Amino acid sequence: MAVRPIEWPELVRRGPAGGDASPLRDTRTAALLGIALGVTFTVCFLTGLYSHWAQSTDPIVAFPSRPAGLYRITQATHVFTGVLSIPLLLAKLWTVLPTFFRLPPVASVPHAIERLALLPLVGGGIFLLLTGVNNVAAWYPWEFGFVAGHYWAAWLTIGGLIVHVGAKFATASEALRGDGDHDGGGDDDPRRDGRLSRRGFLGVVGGVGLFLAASLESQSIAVFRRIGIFSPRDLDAGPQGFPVNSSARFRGVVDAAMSPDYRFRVTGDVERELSFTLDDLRAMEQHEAELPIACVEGWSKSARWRGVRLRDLFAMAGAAEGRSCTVVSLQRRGGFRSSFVNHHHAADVDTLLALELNGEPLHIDHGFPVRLIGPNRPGVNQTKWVEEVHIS
Amino acid sequence: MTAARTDDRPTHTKGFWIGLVLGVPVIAFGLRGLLGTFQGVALASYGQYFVGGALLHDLLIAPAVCAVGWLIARWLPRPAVAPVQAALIASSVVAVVAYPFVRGYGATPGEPSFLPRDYTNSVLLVWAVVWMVALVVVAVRVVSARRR
Repeated sequence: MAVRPIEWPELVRRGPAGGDASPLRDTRTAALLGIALGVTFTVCFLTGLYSHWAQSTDPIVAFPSRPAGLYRITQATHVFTGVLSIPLLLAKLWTVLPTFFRLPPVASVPHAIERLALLPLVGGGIFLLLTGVNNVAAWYPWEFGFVAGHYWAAWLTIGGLIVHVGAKFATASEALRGDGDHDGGGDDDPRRDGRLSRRGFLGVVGGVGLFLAASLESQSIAVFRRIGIFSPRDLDAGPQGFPVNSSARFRGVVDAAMSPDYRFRVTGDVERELSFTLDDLRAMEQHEAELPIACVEGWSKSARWRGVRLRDLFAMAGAAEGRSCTVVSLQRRGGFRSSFVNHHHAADVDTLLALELNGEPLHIDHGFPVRLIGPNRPGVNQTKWVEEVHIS
Repeated sequence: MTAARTDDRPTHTKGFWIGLVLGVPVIAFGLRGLLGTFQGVALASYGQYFVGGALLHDLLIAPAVCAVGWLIARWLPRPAVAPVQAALIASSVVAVVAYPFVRGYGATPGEPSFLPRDYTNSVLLVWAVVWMVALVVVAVRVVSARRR
């Protein structure tokens, strides 16, 4: 079936400043934005998978404990590329807007499939960016779980992206091979008629995206702190000058954590179960590690932690080589009241049950009496107010 | 040169079939996981956000942007068009991204490290800078156009 040129609506076809068809609405602009989005979405997807892997309790391959600071880099990258994608996606949708209203709506069966694959791509892309930013702001106005929802939408979106790249590959590469129309018209391009050039448009879109991404991610990357007016975290606020995601009061653990009856227990598949008072733990051999708290929301900060090595506790209890464990909090409710520590992390010399932060006893909001801290772990898995290590 | 439209070409190229073979199983995997995770109210809410986001864009945001563009073309002198376009793009994107932080619904009392700033001020600051730059550019363009 032959495809008729689009006649409607005129306002949409011409772009936002009237005149001739805008150079911002041509295939070259769409292709350039498409490549940028292809890169940001792919990086976001891969770093997201990495974070999902880090939080899985039963992955096919156990999540490594080294390099120690890798998770803070991948998660900062995840949030950075996600925020950067927002203006890129809006610009891309705006550039291809006339094709939404094309007549006839579909030209052939393959074309119908291609358009159908736009639902997971566009719906999923908007969904991911919206829920992602909301998660950074801890605002959940919906009725589904964020983690699973964000994860499955990522697969839908990437699937839609693969179909879309396949369908547009030939068109886009032809448009990019170009014939000298590289900047979308200088002052003499009649299509511009005083409007933004392609270069200007892409510059503004990319520039505002980079600025926002850097400003938000100043919550992890120190060089961006000067422009951190949109940082959701003050890295120097909080007890002991260190940020807190959820306080002891909020989690309802103050009484249990301060109780003289507090005991720290090692249980499970061991030769002998152990029970310690806080003083018992203090009397054990202490070790120090410089490790970051790296949160899924994209903030991270490094600190000096001091406490008992998890592997020493494994040895004391007589656990066999290569064991893993679950670290359980005094916290009674909530999805993150315990965390899984696989055999890599359990054997790592830097995985500590920390009693001190930067040379002082842990503040209760940082997990007093004891918190878990280990290399290359998401913050949600650095369990606070630990009462039990259950070896399995 | 007339701009080639994306839809002017047939889509059933070799690349299309490769993308289909690789991409559809990924979509199916995501759909299966999604339907296995969410049912009832959660699934309905999910659908609302998934489809609603796209519809919100297509039916509200996009027409609004086109309308604003039309007004710019109609009412603004030509030297002002491009700078105003650029300033509108920058200020609206900043407002959209900052919105959840400006509202601050996720803030928890007693956690001074989270949402520590007045994000309304941050947005206003960016707007002020963006529009000051836009005004300077417009002024420079008007002056240089008169000199010519």
